[in-house]
Amino acid sequence: MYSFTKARKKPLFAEDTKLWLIFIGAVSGLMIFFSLFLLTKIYFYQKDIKNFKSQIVQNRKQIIDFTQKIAFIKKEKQLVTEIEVNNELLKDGVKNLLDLIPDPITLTNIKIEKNYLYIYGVTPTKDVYNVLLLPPLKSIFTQTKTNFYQMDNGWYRFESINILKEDK
Amino acid sequence: MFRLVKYFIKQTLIAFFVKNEKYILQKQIVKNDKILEKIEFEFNEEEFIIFLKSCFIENTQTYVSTIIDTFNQGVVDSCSHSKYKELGINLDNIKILCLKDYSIFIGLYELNTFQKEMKKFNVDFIFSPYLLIDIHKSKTKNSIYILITDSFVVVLIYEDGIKPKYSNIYQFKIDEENTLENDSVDDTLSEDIENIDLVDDIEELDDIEDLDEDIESSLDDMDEVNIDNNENIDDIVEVKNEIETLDFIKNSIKDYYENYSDNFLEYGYLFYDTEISNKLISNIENETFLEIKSEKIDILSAINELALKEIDV
Repeated sequence: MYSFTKARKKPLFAEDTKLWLIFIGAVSGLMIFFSLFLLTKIYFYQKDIKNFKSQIVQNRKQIIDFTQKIAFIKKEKQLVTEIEVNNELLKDGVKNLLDLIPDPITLTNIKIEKNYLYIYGVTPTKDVYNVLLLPPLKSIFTQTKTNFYQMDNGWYRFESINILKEDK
Repeated sequence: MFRLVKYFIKQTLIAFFVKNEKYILQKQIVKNDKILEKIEFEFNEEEFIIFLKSCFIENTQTYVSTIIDTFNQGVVDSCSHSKYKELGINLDNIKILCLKDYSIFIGLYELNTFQKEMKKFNVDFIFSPYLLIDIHKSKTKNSIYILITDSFVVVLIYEDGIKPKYSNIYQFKIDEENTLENDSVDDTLSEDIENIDLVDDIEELDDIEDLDEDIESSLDDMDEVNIDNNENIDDIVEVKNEIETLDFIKNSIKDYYENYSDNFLEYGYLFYDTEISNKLISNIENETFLEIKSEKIDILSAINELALKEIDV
């Protein structure tokens, strides 16, 4: 300290400079705020774009998946149609078969598998069976095998196994 | 904070003193302790105030400094209040400025009066003339330093090589008699003019041009008398100041030997910022029995140097 008095307080900037600085500061602040706002918006848009891109990839996967499922369902449908047709045919076949059964013969059980037809019943005589039922069965099936078991009253219980071999 | 700011912001330092009712000042523009610009001016009071206002508008970091040359100030080789009491100085009436190894005091009344006078100039720093010597000193063992300006003489004596032991200041008196004489010459000449103006029988004059010539010749005479008179007064004042300076130095040394120290002075230094005659230097050498090294110093630069140091504190 060299002086008998102390210096008066000196403002760092003049009044008009202060006003300019406040104005520049306020404008800079607003610009920074606006830039931050835009940067935030850009960030969120980029995040959305990323999400949409991953969603597109997922959707594409789903489309492939659905296409495969559709193809599978179409095949199933085709198969169902085939089964229905087969069933219809089988139904007609069974009806025709039942129509073939002559009056003296009584059926006790019919079992139908894919290429097999099992017929169980009672016939008064073997000849009745061989004359009335066997010829139509032979005309339908490729192979027919019949077993007879005599009952106490003289009638015969029969078991007929009919095989239908598909042409290769 | 300030130290950081001063690297980027310019400071304006204005040092001034009053000489014959004129304000002699030096403006320095400083940045990071480097002087970028140094200009000196001489103004009257009104011009000086206007100049200061423009400086304050130009730069808020403007510091105005001056020196106080009142008689009632001195140096004590300690900051201790007990030392002041020992010397019989009343602490209530003084302001003490404690420096590194010594202190400078000044009468409160004189300081307050000076501050009131300087209020219109918004003075920031008021320095003691002793500091002007202190910043220019070289050897400080048994050395006497004398500073001579147009308005005062300062003596500062160092004994132990560190701090000043003795100080004294002398203000040159304004010679009122010479001023009165000057006034009386002006009055006589004014009367002459009035006499010419008040010629009663103006009609008796043959030609009005003769009257003009008379007035012009009277005015020329008056100017010559004034110039001669002023030169004579300047010479008288110079001689008178030299005699007073010599007496003051002689009395100061006598006072020092009688009341302060038994050690003989070995070195003498004379600083001045005014024109001094070789005769004065040889007279001082004869009176002090020392070889005096004289050096012209720039008081205004020294004041600004002090101001810069003060700002840095």
